Amino acid sequence: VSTVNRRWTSGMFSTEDWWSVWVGLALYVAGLASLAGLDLLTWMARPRAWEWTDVVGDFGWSKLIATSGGWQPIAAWLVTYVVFAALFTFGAYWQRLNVARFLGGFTVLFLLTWLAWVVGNEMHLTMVDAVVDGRNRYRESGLSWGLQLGEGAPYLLALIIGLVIGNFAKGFAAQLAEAAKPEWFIKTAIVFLGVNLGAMTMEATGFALELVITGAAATFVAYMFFWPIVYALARRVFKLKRDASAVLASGISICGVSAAIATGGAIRARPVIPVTVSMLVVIFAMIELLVLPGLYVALFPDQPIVNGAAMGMTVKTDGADAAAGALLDELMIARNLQDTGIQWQAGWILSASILTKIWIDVFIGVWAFLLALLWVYKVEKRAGEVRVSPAEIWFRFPKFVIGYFVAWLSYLAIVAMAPSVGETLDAATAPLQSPMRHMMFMMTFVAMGVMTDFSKLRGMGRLAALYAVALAVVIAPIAYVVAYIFHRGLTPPLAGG
Amino acid sequence: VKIDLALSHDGALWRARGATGEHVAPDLAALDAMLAEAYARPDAPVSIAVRFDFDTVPRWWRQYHAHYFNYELRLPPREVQQ
Repeated sequence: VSTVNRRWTSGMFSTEDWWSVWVGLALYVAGLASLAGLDLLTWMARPRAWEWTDVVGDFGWSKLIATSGGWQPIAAWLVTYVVFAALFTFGAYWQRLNVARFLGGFTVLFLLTWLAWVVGNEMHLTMVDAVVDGRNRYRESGLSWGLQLGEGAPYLLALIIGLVIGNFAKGFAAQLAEAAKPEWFIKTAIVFLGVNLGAMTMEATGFALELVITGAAATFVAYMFFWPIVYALARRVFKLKRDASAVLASGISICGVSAAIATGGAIRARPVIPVTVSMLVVIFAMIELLVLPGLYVALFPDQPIVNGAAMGMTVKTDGADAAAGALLDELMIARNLQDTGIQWQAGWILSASILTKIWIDVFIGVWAFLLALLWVYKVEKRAGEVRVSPAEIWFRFPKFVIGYFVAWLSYLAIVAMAPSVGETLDAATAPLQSPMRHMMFMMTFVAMGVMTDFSKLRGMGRLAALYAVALAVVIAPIAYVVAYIFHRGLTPPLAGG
Repeated sequence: VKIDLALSHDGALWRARGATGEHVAPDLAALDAMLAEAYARPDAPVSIAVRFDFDTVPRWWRQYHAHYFNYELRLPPREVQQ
């Protein structure tokens, strides 16, 4: 048995990319059923902000888990598990994964995710000392101290749990590997985010449009500035071979692992080259995820959208970028609330990060196709003998983007055609927009940690050095300057405004 | 004449598998030469669709991208030795 891309439908039921579309849209369609009077998503559980002395003194699950529609907390949590485990295991079956191992791994990841999510919502970690909607819950709860991390606290906890497993319990990490699919989880979350962006666009259309346009401009930067500079650095300073330089330049400067694979394929390199580069990208993406959100919050607390867009251009792989964007979103909101007492609407900083990244992703197929032509005609000089089909562009197109835009634009179309259903639709898709999306982000954090093994950096001396230099000297500074030019001074709409 | 082959790399060699067997070479140029030798015909041009078998890459890698590369090798009619 072999898996080759032969037709435009190839991979539709056998790749994680497509399954993020199917899972994301299946739940979106369930949300749309509300238009016919069916509330199919009320079972989704979510953690509640809690304070430990209160819970220890008088325990009740309802103090930890919030529900809608009168659901009992544990029942809602179990249904949440069953629905997500069933959807993802069904997808795993079609992808020819080991279903038993996948379900076992998924269950453990789900439990770890919820552990981090619930513990991370303890008020000493999250609650910010500021007045929100006329209330200061930090003071009301009688807190004498607090880290004031906002919703960033559970993300950080999830990441720490994953990294501890990935680096100190490698046997356990290997057992979870079948289900540790951060790209699948995050791409599903991005489809949910499309629904969320639809709802947000209704409130701030001009702002959303500006993010789309400037995100497209960032694509130009990634392909036309970053790539040639990093390629030249690899060839002239680090003396790497032509194929390794091209693959590494794409991995570092465009969109991480997928760009490294696409470029490796375009220049028909031995797979070991993009595999090696991919390992490097995954580890560096984790380092970027750990460092950049905190750094941006500390250095530029008054530039939320600049920070989000810069993140989208700097952090590679969709999982790490979206995770870093989500963490930045929460930390920036908490910091601004702490500093100014003003609460920004959640999701815009994350959207700046993701929209920037998605534009870069979309063009990877075109870029790889052009590179393939260049390689065949100019480098290998085999015109007429070897033909590269434009179908390669489609095979390399990131399919989850289809789910994201379908969710976003269909939401807008429904509300535009029938404005009276806007509120119903917003309420019915609220579980997708917030708890489901957050849960998939949380699972991404845990899964990314599980599959990141920092010891793999050993033996990658020259490649790792080039990555570090390119990131610190080329990518991060240029990305920030470009983001600043386009977004300086922009702030998200006010929460509840 | 059209021929379909599935391509893979085992860490050292490129392997092209088809209905009539497997061809193995250390680099793609050598593999293409081998395919030309095996499949070129005197009476008609031959088109060989070489598609990379994505099942042969590490499992963890596949979630990032689901395609490596395909290409078409075009062989003109082989000259007949007099």
